[in-house]
Amino acid sequence: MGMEHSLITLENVKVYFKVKRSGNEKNQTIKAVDDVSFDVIKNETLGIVGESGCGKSTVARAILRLVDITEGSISFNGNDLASRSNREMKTVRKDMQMIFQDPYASLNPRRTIASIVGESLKLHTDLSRDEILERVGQLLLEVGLRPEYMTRYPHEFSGGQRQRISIARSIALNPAFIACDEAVSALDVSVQAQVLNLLEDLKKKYHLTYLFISHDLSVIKHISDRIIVMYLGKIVEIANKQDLFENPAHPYTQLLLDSIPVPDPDEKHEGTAFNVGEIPSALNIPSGCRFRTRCKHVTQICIDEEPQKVVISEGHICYCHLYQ
Amino acid sequence: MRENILKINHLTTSFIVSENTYTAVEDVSFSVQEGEIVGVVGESGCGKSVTFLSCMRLLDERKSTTQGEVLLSGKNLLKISEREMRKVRGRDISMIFQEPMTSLNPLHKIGRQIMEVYKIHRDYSKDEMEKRAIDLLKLVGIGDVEKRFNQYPHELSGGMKQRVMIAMALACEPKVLIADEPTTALDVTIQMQILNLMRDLKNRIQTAIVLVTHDLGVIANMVDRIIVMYAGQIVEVGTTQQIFKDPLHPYTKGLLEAIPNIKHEKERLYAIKGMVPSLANMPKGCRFAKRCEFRVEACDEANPDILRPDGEREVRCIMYKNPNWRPKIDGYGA
Repeated sequence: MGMEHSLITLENVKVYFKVKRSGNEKNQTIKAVDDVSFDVIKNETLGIVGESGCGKSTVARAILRLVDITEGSISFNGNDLASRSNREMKTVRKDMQMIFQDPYASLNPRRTIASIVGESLKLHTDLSRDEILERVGQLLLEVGLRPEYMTRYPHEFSGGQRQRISIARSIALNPAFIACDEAVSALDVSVQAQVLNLLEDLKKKYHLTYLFISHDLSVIKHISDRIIVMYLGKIVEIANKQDLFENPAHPYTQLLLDSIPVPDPDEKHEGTAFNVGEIPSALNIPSGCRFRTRCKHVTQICIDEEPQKVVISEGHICYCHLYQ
Repeated sequence: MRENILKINHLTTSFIVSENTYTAVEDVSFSVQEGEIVGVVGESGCGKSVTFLSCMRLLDERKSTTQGEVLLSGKNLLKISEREMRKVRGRDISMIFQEPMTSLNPLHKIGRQIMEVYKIHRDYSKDEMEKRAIDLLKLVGIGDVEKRFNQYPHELSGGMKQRVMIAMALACEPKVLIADEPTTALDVTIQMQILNLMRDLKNRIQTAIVLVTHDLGVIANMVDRIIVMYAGQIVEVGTTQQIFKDPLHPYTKGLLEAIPNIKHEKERLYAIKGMVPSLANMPKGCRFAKRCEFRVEACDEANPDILRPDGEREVRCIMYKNPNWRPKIDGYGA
C-alpha cells in the first residue's frame, strides 16, 4: 500500500477508557482499541467486522475525534489529527462525516429536516438561507426523498427514510470520507437493500471513501473492497474481499465465516460442532493471543506471547502464531 | 402423517387506540405438526410477533381483541379462563423472546427463576426442583452450574441468559416452543451455538418449535417449513426448499433477491420499492400491490384469497404463475 494512495493512516492507535469502581476496588482500564494500525485508501470501501466489544465503532469514533486517542497517531490527507485543537478539527470535519446505526436517536426530534440537513451548510459555508434551502432540496432528491419533506420533523418518517436523511446530512458538504457505523443494521432487509444501493451510487458519483462498520459479514462482503477483522480491541486479519472469504487465515475469521447462516437450504451446515464459548470480558483480556480461549489450535506460545504481524500474501496480513 | 399439535384458524387481532381499531393480524391460519420446526418470516410490522402473543394470550385484553381459534392438542386457548391459561403457559406451550436481558427478573437468582416453573406446574419437593433445575442448566450447556445457579441475571452474558431462558421454557417439556427472534440480539458465533442447542434439544425432547425471525439465513438453516407474512397476512407457505428454490409470491422473491448472500455474490441488490402500508391505511386490494412489479388492475380491486397450487403450498397472489420472474435491478426503490 503506497502512502500516496492512503487517505487516512492509523499508526499504533490505542483508545483506553477508565472504569470507576465503587469502594475500595481499584479503577480499571478497558482497552477498547489496543495498538491498531491500518490505512484507508482513497476511493475504497474498507469494511471492519467483528463482534460486540471488538472496538470497531471506537476506531471510527477515534478517526473523527469523537473520542480522544490514548496513544498513537491518526493522519488525514497527511495531516496529523491527534495534535489538533477542537477548533482546528472543525475545518477537518468538513471532509469527514459519520452515519450512525440508530436513525431514531441520531436526528434531533425538535428540528425540521431542513434544519438538520442544512446545519452543516450554515456552519461551514457563506450560503444565504434561500441557497441553503435549495441545496437541502437537492440533497433530499439525491437520497430519494421529496424536497417538500424538508418542513417535516423526524417522527414523520420511517426508519429507512430517516437513514436517508442522515445520509443527506452526511453528504451536504461534499466530504471525502464517510464512516458508516452499522448504518443498515437497524433496517428491514428490503429497506436495507435500498440504503446499500444508495450508498454505492453516492460513492461512485462523489468519489467517496467509506469506512463501513458492521457485525453482518454478508453485508460487509457485499459492500467492501478490503476487510479488517477485529477481536477484543485488536486487528486479527486484513485482506481484500476475495482473499478473506476464499482463504481466511486467522482461526477467528474462520470461525466467523463458519457461523454465518447462509440463506440457502442447500448450504445448510450445522456449524462447528465444538463449543467455541463466549467472548472474554474486556476487563479481563487473556494473555498472549486474545483469541486463544476460543481457538482450537491453541498451543503454549499462544498463552505466552502476543502474535506479531505476518504477511500471508500481498495485502493480506494476519496476527496468528500458526503462521510464524 | 404426523399429528397437528397446534392449529390456528382464522386468527385476527386488532388493537384499539383512542377509539380507532387497527387490525395487526388478519385471518391467519396454519398448523404445526408434532416435532416439526416451522419458520415464520417477515419484516417489522408484518404481524409475526403479534400472532404468537395472541396465541399465548399475552396481549392486554383491554386494548386488543382476538378472534378465531388457537387449538393446542384440540383445546381452544382463546376460550379458556385466564386461570386455566396460566397452567397451559410454560407447561404445554412456552415462548422465548428476543431480549434475554429483559425477560429475566433482575432481582432473583437464576436457579430460583428456573425452579419457579416447577413450583407452578409440578408437585416436586424442594430438593427435587433444585436437582432438576441444575440438570436443565447442564442440558442447555451452561458450565460451572453450581456457581451460575446462585448468580443474578446481570452476572451472565447475553448468550448465557438466552440459554437460561431456553432452560426455563423447556423445563416442563412443552409440546410447542415459540421462539421469537431468539438470536437476533446475539453475536454470530453465539447465535450459532444457540441455534445448534435448539436443534439438539428438539431432537431430544420432541418439542415442536416455531421460529419467528426476520433472518432468512437462520430460517434456511433451521426449519422444515416456512410461513411468509406481509402486512398482517400470510402471503406464502411452503417447505424450506420450495420457498428458497421456487418462491411463488413476488414479495418472497423480492426478499430473497434483497439480501446479500455470502455464497452467491450479487453485483447489486434488488430493492423492493416503497414501504409497508400503514395499519391505518391498508389498501382494499392486495397489500403488496403498490410495491409489486406484476401489478395488474385486478390486484387493486380485491385482496386475493389464499390459492393452493398443489394442494399443500399456499400463496396469496393472483399472478403467481408468471414464469421466470427476474427482478429489475436498478435505482434504489425510492
